[in-house]
This record gives sequence, structure tokens and C-alpha cells, in this order.
Amino acid sequence: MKLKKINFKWVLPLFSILVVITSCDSFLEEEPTSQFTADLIFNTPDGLEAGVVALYSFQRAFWENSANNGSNAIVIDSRDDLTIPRGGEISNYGRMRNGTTPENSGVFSSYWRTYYRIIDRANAIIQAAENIQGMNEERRSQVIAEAKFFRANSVFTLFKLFNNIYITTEPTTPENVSDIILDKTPEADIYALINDDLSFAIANLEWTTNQTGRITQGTARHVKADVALWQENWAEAKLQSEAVISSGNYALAASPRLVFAGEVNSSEILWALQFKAQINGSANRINFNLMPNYAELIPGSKYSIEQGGRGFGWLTLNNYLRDLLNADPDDERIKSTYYIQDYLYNDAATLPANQTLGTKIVHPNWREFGTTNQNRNFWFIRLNAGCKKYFPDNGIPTENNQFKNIPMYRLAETYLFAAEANLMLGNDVAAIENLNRVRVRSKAAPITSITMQSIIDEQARELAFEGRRWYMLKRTGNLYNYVRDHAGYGWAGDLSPENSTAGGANNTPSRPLPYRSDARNSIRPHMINWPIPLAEMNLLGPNYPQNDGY
Amino acid sequence: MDNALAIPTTNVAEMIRGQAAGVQITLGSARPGGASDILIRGRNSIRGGNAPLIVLDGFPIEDINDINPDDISSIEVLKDASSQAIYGARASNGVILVTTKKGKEGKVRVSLNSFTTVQQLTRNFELNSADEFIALRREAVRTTNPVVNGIQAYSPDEVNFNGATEFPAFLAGNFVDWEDEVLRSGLINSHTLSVSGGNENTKIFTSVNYFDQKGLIPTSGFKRGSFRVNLNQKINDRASIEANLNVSTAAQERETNNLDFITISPFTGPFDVEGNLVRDLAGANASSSSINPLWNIRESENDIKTDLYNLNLVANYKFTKSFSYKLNTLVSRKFTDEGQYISRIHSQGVTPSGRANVSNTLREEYLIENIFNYSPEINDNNKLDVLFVQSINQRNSSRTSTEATGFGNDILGYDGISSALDFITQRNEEQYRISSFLGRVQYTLMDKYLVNLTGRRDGASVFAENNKWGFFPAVAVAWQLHKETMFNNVESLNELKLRMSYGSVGNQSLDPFTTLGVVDNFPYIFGGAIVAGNLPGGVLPNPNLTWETSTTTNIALDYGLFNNRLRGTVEYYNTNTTDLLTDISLGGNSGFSSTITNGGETRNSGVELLMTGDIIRNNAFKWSLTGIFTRNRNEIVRTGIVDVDGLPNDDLGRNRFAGQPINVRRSFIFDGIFQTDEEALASPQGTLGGTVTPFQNATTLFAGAIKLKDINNDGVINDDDNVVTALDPKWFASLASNFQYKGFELLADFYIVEGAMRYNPYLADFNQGGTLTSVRNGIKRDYWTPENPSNTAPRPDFGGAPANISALGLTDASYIRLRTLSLSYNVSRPVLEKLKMNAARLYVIGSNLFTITDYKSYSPENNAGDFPDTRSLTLGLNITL
Repeated sequence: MKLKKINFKWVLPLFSILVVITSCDSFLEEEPTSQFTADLIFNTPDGLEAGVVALYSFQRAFWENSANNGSNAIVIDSRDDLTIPRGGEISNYGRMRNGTTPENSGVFSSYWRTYYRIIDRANAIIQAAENIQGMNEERRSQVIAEAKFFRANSVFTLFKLFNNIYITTEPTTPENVSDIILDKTPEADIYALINDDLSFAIANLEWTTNQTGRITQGTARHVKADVALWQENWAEAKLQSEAVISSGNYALAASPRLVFAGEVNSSEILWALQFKAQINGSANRINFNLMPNYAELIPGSKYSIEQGGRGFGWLTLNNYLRDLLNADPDDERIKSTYYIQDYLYNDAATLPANQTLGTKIVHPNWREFGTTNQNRNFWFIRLNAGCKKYFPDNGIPTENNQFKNIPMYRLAETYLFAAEANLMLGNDVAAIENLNRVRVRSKAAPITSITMQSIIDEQARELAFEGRRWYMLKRTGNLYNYVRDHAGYGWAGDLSPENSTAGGANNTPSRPLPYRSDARNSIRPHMINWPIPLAEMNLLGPNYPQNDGY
Repeated sequence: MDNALAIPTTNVAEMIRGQAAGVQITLGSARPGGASDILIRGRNSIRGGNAPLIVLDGFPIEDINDINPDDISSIEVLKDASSQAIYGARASNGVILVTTKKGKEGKVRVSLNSFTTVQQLTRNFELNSADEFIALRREAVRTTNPVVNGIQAYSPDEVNFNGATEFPAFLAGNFVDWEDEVLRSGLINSHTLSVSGGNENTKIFTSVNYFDQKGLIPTSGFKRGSFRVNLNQKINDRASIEANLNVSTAAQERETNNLDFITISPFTGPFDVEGNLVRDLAGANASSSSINPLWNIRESENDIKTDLYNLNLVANYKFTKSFSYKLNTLVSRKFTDEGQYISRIHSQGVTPSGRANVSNTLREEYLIENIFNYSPEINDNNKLDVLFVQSINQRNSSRTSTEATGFGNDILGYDGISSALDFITQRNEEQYRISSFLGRVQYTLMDKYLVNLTGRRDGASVFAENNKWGFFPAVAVAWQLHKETMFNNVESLNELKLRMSYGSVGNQSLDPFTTLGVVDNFPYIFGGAIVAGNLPGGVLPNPNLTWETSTTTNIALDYGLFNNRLRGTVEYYNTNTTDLLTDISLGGNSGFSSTITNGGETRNSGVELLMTGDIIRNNAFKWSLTGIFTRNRNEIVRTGIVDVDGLPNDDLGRNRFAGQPINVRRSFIFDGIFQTDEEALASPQGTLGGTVTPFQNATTLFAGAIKLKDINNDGVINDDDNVVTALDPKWFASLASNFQYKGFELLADFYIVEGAMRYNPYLADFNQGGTLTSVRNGIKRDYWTPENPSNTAPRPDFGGAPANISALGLTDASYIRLRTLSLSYNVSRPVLEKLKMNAARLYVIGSNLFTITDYKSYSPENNAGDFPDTRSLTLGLNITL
């Protein structure tokens, strides 16, 4: 029985070894090899700094969302008084077929969730950074200051949009996640948190950074000026905006042509989201939504960088904004800088014999005051004025998706803040001076007297399609009236249906036929607050207050 | 499962379809080399897959399709907790045991099986013809026209058919059948050569297979070569070893993605006047982004190469006659090399200037099992069998992938990646470990009563630090009733066996590192340079997760009557899955979209019937019928979300409702078409005056718009009027008829699915022509027009999709299908002797020959835009020397 012995020799030791190995608990212990743990991020200085970087990435992700043809980020522009929501997904919100009840406001969730996510992670970073041992004080305060800026900016945004918001400074944990939210946070507490956070950021951030794209003291002061305007604290708004203007670190670009040029990191930019084509960040379809389709079926015309590339004209300039921009014939902003209203023949290869390169395309049928609905519709699709702020000057003009850095805040708005604060404080001279800085660099004639209307109009010209207009109208109490009077296309105050002459329209420049102006009829005074989307209400407490009117 | 192997595919799951009660197969991908989903006794798990454990010759394998179908000798399905217990920690979704052919003592046999299959498209709907499409377009454009003096005029055709290419094609009558332009016939060739034989000490089976399939869509295909050796070597009376080796190498070619080709406007064609492919179907500067599918097919490549090595080594040793030891070891390695390239002129390749993705994935698995068995011979009336198993299992996977953009030329495709400009590389590593102990005692009394007790203790690495271990007991009893004296005189009763079992198994449907709270990468750009950013992503980590437990009660009766001419099984089961690992929606205010808890619970119960009847059974002539019926009822007991009072709540964000099945769709219900503007405006969808905001804008309420059902009859359509509809079939069944006459055998296999619902994009989505905008072609439908007051489909509108069109998408997807009709001829003995063969068989198989269903698609299990399912005809020859 020699064999038997041999077999026993290898069977039994092997068995006992295996039992020992497997009963040892370390066999089941996990060690992630290609990912970091949250522990590392929140308990080391390097980790906390990486956490702050991710906050920028979260903010940028809002613009990278490709849902609804990439239009979610500009839905706020479709809801103001300056745009024609001609088609595409965005027109459902622009024409207020959506976004009027909690049930039909799914896209608003992307606003709700983006900013709450930033708030929660900022909470976690702030709490961890305040408690971490052995972190260099300078690094610690930089981390906390940036996180507090993000928190303040996000709370402020949510408050302006949704009004009834619940805010906590405690990060979400497995222990507290099942706590049910029963009520909103009082407005005073919200403003207190925003102002505290911004004050901390201002006190601890430098004016300049060698890492272009980081927020700075100037960014924080600009937002604090905005908050002060909302609180009608004119002195604070003046203080903060003038601090930015006079800091010496910023200057308006010499021409509107330069504001959105290149990397959009000029001296005018207070904060821009950063992309690097093909390497980091996704391309977006903002330009595709905003630019008309001026080369479709028009021989002699092709998509070009100069004219803003290719789009589908889903959200374009309305006649109200165009008239504001054309009020001064020298105003450069609509002359193919921010916006474009004259498209030129530019394709020698397909140019018809009777046309000349470089002259304005005037289509025989497709005209603003064309005789048929179809012909007018084609004019809106192809030849109406478009916004080219989001077209990159190194882009491929025939493509739908484009990479470009996106400015969040810029100095032109700071000047308008200062103008408003000065006006409210009775400093008309300073207000005029502030406002004229913005006008003059666009070659528009300086104004000599100023009212609130001057500021509201200048803000439309300068900042349309930058997600700023809706907030300003709401803040100044004008949102309902302006949307009712101007949303979509048509003459001011015409509430009649599309293409109808019932309201006195007669298809002339002074009395244009209404087009995509449904929002004028749909808006109600309570809609100055967005409804909290139903999906979010379902996850809040049973008596959590929806905004009034919904 | 004798009929199981009659289908020409590498998709082994499809071979099981309809062959076992309680096993639901759903088409996953009809692409060459594609797979189907296997679901045993319904969905227990919500977040994890519900795929069963596949055990090949006693060892787990990852993918059932890695087996060469010709090597399979039998397939068995284990469904109840007691029989699953031995396969343990990964067995809670059921076990499919696949056994390959083994060598037998005796003469060496050489066998060849070759077949050729031709595949063709099958569909049960008609697209609009040229005239119908023209009519649809005219109506759709007309809808956008103003009503003047009560008349809404048609537009001239040069307005109806716009675009640089459409109008000329319309004038010339150039109507393109996109299906013909894009698709081709599929072709499969498969050859297997096997050699087997053995003597008292050594038995061997070896086979080699070559499989080659060309898919319906150009450039799609699948090739595989596989090799298997099964060796059994006796060392002496006490010891023996077995080795199974499977080596295969496969190459799959995939077509480019997003090919919604059949609904492209038929007045645009793939070629220009010179016969060259065009890229933009609607013209170069068109706003419509219709890309020529043939263009993108030509400008892309996507190859997946897979190498698989699977080695089992088994050692058996008998200490005494009744005490034995077995060592099972498994080493398996699967290496996948994937390359994708889209050229600089592919529609998605222009911006990045060509894009390549290459990745390498290595998947490894190790298993060691120590098995001790003690089965003393007590006496004839008392039998005892005791088993102890200790095992460890480890699965690792690592993947490196690189995406590169910015190519100077397209010549080398993805192999030219080194010359690209920009690179993003990712690396992922995962590891699963399981440690298990199992004890089982089996006791048989008088060959009539059988008791089986098992207990197993499993530890899994994916669970939280202090929650890694679970204990799962099971008990089974069986009673051979026909051996009782009271049935002694019942001649017609051949078998009557009652089986009952109760027990639990664990499931660990978690990804590695989930409980640790790992963070995701969110890099960013500062000053033009990339900076690392890391934070928790959308899922809030839960550090307390542990096993989910499925507890099953199973009662079965096996019967055989009239000389076993009628035989079968009746089975009832009820499975409760508690501590269900569930991802639950979190309010946006938390900053997270979801977290995972053990808070869910599901229940599955059902009835399974199997019956085979030999209607005619004599020497020359045999006819038998087999029916298999499965009914499963699936229910979520708890979604994991609770309200303020701690009571179970629905998880609306995830479409999970307590008391409803897991697989549901929540939607409004279609209730016809409004016939007048007044009816639409006054309906519950319209304005009611006062402060109530109407469900939809007044401008979308007109004659020809979609009417929704006011479910709660409160006069208002709102969120409460949504209805939850179960999608999984209420029952499914198969019926097989087997007819044998001398050497001929005729098999017909019907598959029946009843009560299934499905969302059909061809009826509701823009890209599939479902919105009736007429921008794209679509299924022919009876749509509303002022002259045709239809009540089934809304008024076409060139300007956009009708409001609420998605309510039309949900349709019945029940069907009856003749899955297999095969005729084979076995050459008779005298002829074989002349040919010096052992056996020879010729066969013809028709697959999916016809389908009766209301679901309009390529197949009731095919999604629109998926690789289309096919009908096929196979000719094969099988000879054994």
C-alpha cells in the first residue's frame, strides 16, 4: 500500500492548508486597487484639494448633459423675454408647454440636482477640512474658501430658481440619509449662509491665480454684489462691484469680438468653465440650439467660423432683443460679434451668377414678412438673428457638437451691477459712467441720463443667452410682465395665437404676426418661482411646501 | 432536453428556450455572437442580474456561450433551494448544469457534424409604401398650415418635399427601400470533428469546432475555433484523475452603432448620381442630421477578439469503500482584445478627427474545492450519505482601455493608434472572493423515503467588514408513493413521487468595493492642463451591506402512467427574497441620486407543468407530444423606501411599486383620438378654468390629438392617472411534437408567450417613425385626418411629435412562434454497413418559420434599432465512423 501513503501525504496537508487560508478573514478583505477611497479624499490634504477640483467638474457637467439635444443648460434662457423657442426639445420649455406644473417639469430636476450635489460635496469638504489635523493653514483656508464659494453660489442659484429650498450644512451620510425633509429653510437663514460663505471666500481667496479657471476673490465679490442686489443692499452691491472693477485685475475686452474669442479667458472673465477638446470635458450642443441654419438650401452660402457654424435655429433672438440691439446703428454687438443678423454669401463654389460674395443673403421667398407661414417659418429657421457666443473660433463649422470654455461671470455684468447700485443710491453720474463702459466698448453711443429701464435694456443687449436675464427680471419684479409682453416673436403685448391678425398684427415691421409666442399666454404671476419637479416632491416629506400657485 | 441542440447558433441560451419549465429566455442580441438572457423562476433580485449560475462539468463558467454546442451531452436546470445548495453562493438565481460528452470504453469513434444556415430578415409589419408616404407627408405638412375660412389647404409638393435631395427624388419617383439597401442574407457554417474512445483505465473525448457567421448587416460577423479534451485516467483501484480542457478563440465584428436605417425618408438614397455613397442624406448643408448608414458602416470598424482557456483538474481518492475524497480545481482565463475605429469622415469622427478605442480585458477565475464523502452501507433499507465541502473561489478582472483622437490618416484604423494626437487611458481592477463550507446529510429509508439536510456558510468579499458571512440551511424530503403497498395493484401507475423542499440561498449582487465608499474620477482643466479631481459620485456608499437571502418552498409531483406513456411533473414554488439589495432613489437635496440598502423584498411564486405523452409507440412508428407550461407571479413586497411612518413606499424614480412586479412601465393610457377641437379643449386634459393649471397647453389640444384615459374619473388628467403595467409574460409554454418513422424524424416546436407587454418605439418614437411627423418613414397606420376621423392614431404633424404619443407605444407583445421545424433522416443499418459507418444523419431545420403576434417589429423580443432577429434554414450532415 505504498500509493496510499503517498496520497495521504499530499491530500491531508493540502486540505489543512486550504482550511487555514480560507478561514482566515483576510481572504475576504477588500482593497481597491484602481480607485481611491472616500477616506483618502476627505482625510488627506491632497485628497481635499482633489475634492475641490471635482466641484468644478460637477459645475461643468451641467453644461455637458447631452439630454434633450444638449439644451438643458439654456432652458433658463428659453424662459425669458428675449428669445424665440422655434423648435427642438427646448421649445417645449420656451413655449411653456413644459415647466408649468410639477408634473411637466422634469428638466428642472437637472438644475435642482446639479446644485444640490455641489452643496452636499462642498459641505463634506468644508467639514473635513475644518477638522483635519496637520494641514498647512494656507492650503486649508484655500480649500474651505473655494468650497464655500461653490456652496454659496449653488444655494443662491437654487433659491433664485426654486424659492422653497431646504438647505443644510451637514453632508449626507448613510446615517442621516433616511431623515425625511419636512420643511423649507427660511429665507433669512439662506441669505445668512450665502453671505457668510462669500465673506469667507473673499477674505481667503487671492485676486489672481496662476491656474486659469479657478475662482478668485473677484469671482466671490461679483456674486456677493449680485446677492446684495437681491437683498436690496445697494451699498454692499456698490462696495463689492466697485472693488472688482477697481482692483486692477480685470478690464473689459476692447471689443465685443474679443470677449468670447479663443479660450474665453480674457481680462474680462471672472470665472469660466474650462474644457480641453478630446481630453477633458464633453462637447456641447449649445451653439447648435442657438444658431440658425443659414446654409441649408441657399446656394452661395456655407457654414463658416465667422458666421457661427451650423445650427438648427431652435432658440434665436426675438424682435424685441433685435430692436434693442439695433437701437443704436453703431452698436457692434449684433454685427457678428455676440449675435449675427446679416448672413453673407461666402461660398464661391455654389454662388449663383446673380449674386456677389460678401453681400447679405436676401432670399426671394424666405423673409421675415413673407407672404406664407411656410416662407416666414423658413426665414426663422435659416435667416433670423442667432447668438454665436458659444461657437469656438477653432471649431469645425459643419459639426453639431462643439468644445468651448463657458463663461460663468464676467466684468460687463459687474459694471451693470455697479450701475444699478449707484442708481439706487442716487449716484446717477457714477451709474451712467458704469453703464457707458459697457456701451462704449461696443461702439454704442454713451447715454447721458439713466433709469432702471436703461439698465434692464443694456443687460439684455450685453448678456442675452448667458443665463442671466431671467434672474434679473425676477429680481426686479419684471419677469411676469416682460414675458407676457415680449416672449417669442410678435409686437409687444400681442397675446393672439400664432400667425393670427386678431390682435392687430398685419405682417409689417411695426405689427409683426405672432410666432412661437405661446409663453405670453401661459405665464402666470406665480411662475416667477419654478415648480419643484414632481419626482423631487415625491422624495421630500409629505407636507413639504411646493411653491405657491402650483 | 433532447430537442435542445437543434438550433444553429452559438447562443446556447436559445437552445434551452422552451425546453425546461420555469426557464424564461429573452432575446438579448440577435447579432452574430450575441447572447440571450436566461431567467429562472422570475426576477428575485432588483439590482444584481438575475442570470443563473452556469456549471460546466461541475465547474462554474462565466458565459454559457463559451461552450461549443456540439460538445454538449446534456443540460439540466436546478431551481429549488435544496438542489442549488451544493452550488452555493452564486446559485440563488438557479443553476444550469451543462455536461459535455465523455469518452467511453470501446472502439474509437470519429464523428463529423457540419451544417450550413441561411438567415433572412423576418418582420410582421409593412412600412408605408411610396404612395402612403407621400400621403402622410402631405397630411403632416397640411397640419402646419393655417385654417382659412374653415379650410386647411395642402401645400404644394415642392414645399411638402423639401431638401436638396428629397424633392428631385420625389419628382423622379425614386423610392428607396432602405431594408434592401442595407441588409443582406446571413450565412452560417459550422463544422465539428470529434474523436472519442477509451479502455478500462483511460477514457478520452476530444473535439474541434469551427464556426463562421456573417450577419444580416454588412461587416457584422462572428468566427470561433474551439478545442476540447475530456480525459479520465484511472491510477489504481483507489485513485483516479480527470482533466477537462477547453480552448477557444473567437472574433466578433460589429457594425457601427445607431443604425435606424429602415425609417429613413425613402426619397433620399444612399448614392449620388455618380453612384458614390453620400454622407448626408438630406444634402450637405441640411439641418436634418440623417446620416447614410452605409457610409457609417463603411467608415467604422469594431472587432472583439476573445481567447479562452478553461482547465479543470479533478482528483478522486477512496480511503475506504465508503469514505472518499475529491479535489476540484479550476483555472480559467479569458482575454478580450477590442478595437474600434471611426474614421475622420464618419459622422461622429469629424470633430475628433478620427477616434480609436482599444481595450484589453483579462478575466481570471480560480476555484478549489475539497470534498469529503462518507456513505456507509448500513443495510438495504437504510442508506446514508454524508458530504462535506470546503471551497474558495476568486474572480479577478482587469481592464485597460485607451481612447485616442486626432488621426493624421485612416489607413491603419485602430491599429494606428500610436500615431494619434490625444489619449485618455483608463484602468479598472476588480476582485471577488468567496469562501464556503457546506455540510449535507442524505438519508434514504426503504428506497421510499428520502431526507436531505444541507447547511452552508458563505463569506463574500463584497460585503461590509462585519457582514461578510451568511448561513443558509435547506431541507428536502421525497416520497416514492408508487412503492407503497396501497398502489401495488394499480397497474397503470409506474411512478408517483412527491418532493418537497424548503431552504435558502444567499445572493451577493454587489460590485466589489461598494461598501468601502470609493470615489470617482472627476478630472478638470486649469490653465490648459489636466488636474485630478475626486469625489463620491451619484451613489451614496452604505457600509453595512450584507447577503440577500432567497427562501424557497417547493412542492413537486413526478408521475408516470400507462407504461410511462404519459409522464411528467407538476411543481409549485414560492420564493421570498429578503434583505434584498436594492438601490433606492434619494431626493436631489441629498446630493446623491441613490444608495444601496438591504431594505427590499420580493416574492416569486409559480406553477410549472411538464407532460410528455407517447401517443403512438411501436417499432416503426413513434409520435410523442411534450408540453411545458410556466406561470410565474413576481411581486415587489418592499421597495426599500419608507415614508415618515416607516411604512413601505413606492420608488417612483425607479419605477418600483410595492405589490407590482419588478419589470413594469408606468404611463398614461391611450383612450382614442379627439374628434373635435371642442372635445379636446373641454376634456380632462384641457383647461378647467379657475386656477387649475391644465395638463397640457391649449395649443396642443385639437381634433386629431391623443386622448388619455382619466383613470380615477376626477375630471382632470394628472400624474395620478398613470397606470402601472406589468411587462413580463403572464405565462409561457412550449409544445413539441416528435414524429418518427423508420429512419425519419420530424420535430415541430412551438413557443407561446402570453400576457407580455412591451413599449414599441415604432409606434411612438421619432427615430423609428413612430411620431408620424413624416420626417422619417414608419409603420403604416390609420392616422387621423379631417377626412378620416380615425380613433387609433393621431393627426400627423410635420412640426413635431403629437403630445402624449408615448401612450401609444405600450402594446401587447404576446406571441406564438414555430421556433423549430426539423426533418432528419438516419441512414439505415444495412446501408451504413456498406458505407462502413456507425451512423449517418441528414437534417434540415427551419427556425422561426412563423410568428403570430400583434407586436409590430422584427420579432416580439427585438427592440427597434437592434440587430434584427432572423428566420433561418439549415442543412446539416452528421456522420460517425
